[in-house]
Amino acid sequence: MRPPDVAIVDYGMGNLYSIESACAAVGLTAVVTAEPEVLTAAPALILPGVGAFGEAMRRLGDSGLDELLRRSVGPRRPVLAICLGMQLLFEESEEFGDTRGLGLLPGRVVRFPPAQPGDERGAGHKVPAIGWSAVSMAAPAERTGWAVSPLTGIPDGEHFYFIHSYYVRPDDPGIVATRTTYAGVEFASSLVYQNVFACQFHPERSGPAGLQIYRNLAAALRSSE
Amino acid sequence: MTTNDTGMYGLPTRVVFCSRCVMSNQRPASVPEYRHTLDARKPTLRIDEDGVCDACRHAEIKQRIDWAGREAALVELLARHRRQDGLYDCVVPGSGGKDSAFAAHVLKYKYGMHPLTVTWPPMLYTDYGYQNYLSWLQVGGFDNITMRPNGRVMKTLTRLSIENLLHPFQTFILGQKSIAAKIAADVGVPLVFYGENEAEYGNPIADSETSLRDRAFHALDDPEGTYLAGVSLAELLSEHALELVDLKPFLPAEAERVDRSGIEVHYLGYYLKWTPQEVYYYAVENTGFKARPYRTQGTYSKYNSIDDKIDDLHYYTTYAKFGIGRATYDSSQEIRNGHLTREEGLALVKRFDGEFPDRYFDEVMTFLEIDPTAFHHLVDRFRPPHLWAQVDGTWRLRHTANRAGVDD
Repeated sequence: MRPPDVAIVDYGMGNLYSIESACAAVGLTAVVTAEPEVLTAAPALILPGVGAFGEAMRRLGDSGLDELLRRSVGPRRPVLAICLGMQLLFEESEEFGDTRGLGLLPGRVVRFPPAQPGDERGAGHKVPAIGWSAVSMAAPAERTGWAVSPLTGIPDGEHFYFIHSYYVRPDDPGIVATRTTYAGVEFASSLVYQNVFACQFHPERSGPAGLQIYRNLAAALRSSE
Repeated sequence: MTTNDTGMYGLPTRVVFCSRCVMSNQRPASVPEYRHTLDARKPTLRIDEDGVCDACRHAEIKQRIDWAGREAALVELLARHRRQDGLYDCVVPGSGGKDSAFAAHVLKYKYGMHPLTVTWPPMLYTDYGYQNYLSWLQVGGFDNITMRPNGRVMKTLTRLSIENLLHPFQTFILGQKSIAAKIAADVGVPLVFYGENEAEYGNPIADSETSLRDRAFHALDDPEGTYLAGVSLAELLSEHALELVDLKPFLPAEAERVDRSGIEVHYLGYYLKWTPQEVYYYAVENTGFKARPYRTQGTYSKYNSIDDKIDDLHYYTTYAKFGIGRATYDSSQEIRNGHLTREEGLALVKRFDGEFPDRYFDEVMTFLEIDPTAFHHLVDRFRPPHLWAQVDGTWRLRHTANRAGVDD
């Protein structure tokens, strides 16, 4: 049997069903696994994540997957890090007191300002942010991730589905690929670093635009074969 | 121990929410409706010491089931019953919703069976529901027997079940759970398939260890102690000018008749992995099923339980009686199936649970000849004091999944 194209990191925190379905929809074979050998050998990795930062780091630490991820997230193969998976790449989060992350990227994970009840004009906001928001393309830097770009074919201003209370604040603005504004805060909604595409939104739950990102992943894998 | 105290309907007075889905321990299990009286005490959803409910535990078990083995058992069962002599070999009950559409279609077109479909129709079909019922038979391609009970009796019993139990859906459930075995006995086809097991939604987990449905749902052993609309049969006959023949359609078949005919009622969901959203897509592709273009009141969904005008009211009453509205039911199921996260479920519950279903309300009240104001007074009488508080003239839940209740 052909090995799967993509290994989805299973550390017990994530909406894996939708991610598997999105892979299948673009012809990628995917396996959900915590097996170090499978994760090491897979041509591409997806780091999903839903839930609390501290709990996620604890689970990764208990299983030793944190070390494996530190070694395998980089220039070698395509990595897609989603939502909490994106946040875990950073040094630390202010969620439930300061918690150390994987520390692959310099920067912090911070919380939206507290919820404000809306008035008749619809001002105010809720936390967690749940819903569709536009992403605007950051000025294109010289990027090498996922062959051309994980965002190929996505128009500026496209909407994606978000659910989060925290967002990342990278020290290096050069890695920011898209920006989004919520609760009066403009934050990095996706970034490209080496061969890693990390996004705060959920491409697997964002309809055709989200699937385009999976299609770009499939194309990058085919071109590297 | 105080945690074992019970309030109205035997509900635990201490309200606990599952830590994975948004369901509470106030959810009663499904038990035969013909035993349902105001004093009946149903078992409620168990939440274990880790804070996880039985329905979520069942979803976990479902991930580990050997589905290939289960399907092989189905193939073997079907081989024993399949007929090629022009007679039906199985009975599939349904109203034409996504579940019955899927069940009948896979049995016929994937497994080569010859199903007879059987329908106990809603008291008041919605337009979409009626179209889906027709498409099921016309696009899906099935023979069907529809048993429509005496409308005057249906109306009387439904009104009584609202007045006595605040349970507008009881007459539908009664027929839906018992009709297939009765018709199976009539036509001499012993194999009956329902879709999903009730355990998916939190009946005791042991209920899901077998493909066979508890025969109490379709076989009546003991006519004594039988109630409809919370009223004993004897009283219905003497006080409401009804005859036994009027009530029979709402009662299960006699146990002796079920046994003599060798009726076996199975859950297809025991053999095939049942994911409501997948089943919906299947029905769209194969039997012309159409979701409603607008969401159902009280929830966010568009494709489940959309065929009966009284259904929205049913969930409004569960909100009053158990503090559990339709968004809680829908999002809990979708959380278990990995389509939603708990945070999303909480947001949906906050937004939609308990929304008053005014789309069909006046029509239903007119049909049943119930005064709408009297209905609202009735609802208030059925609110358990351990769940509801009146604050400045408004009823508010004491506890919610979002921890925003009066006593949270």
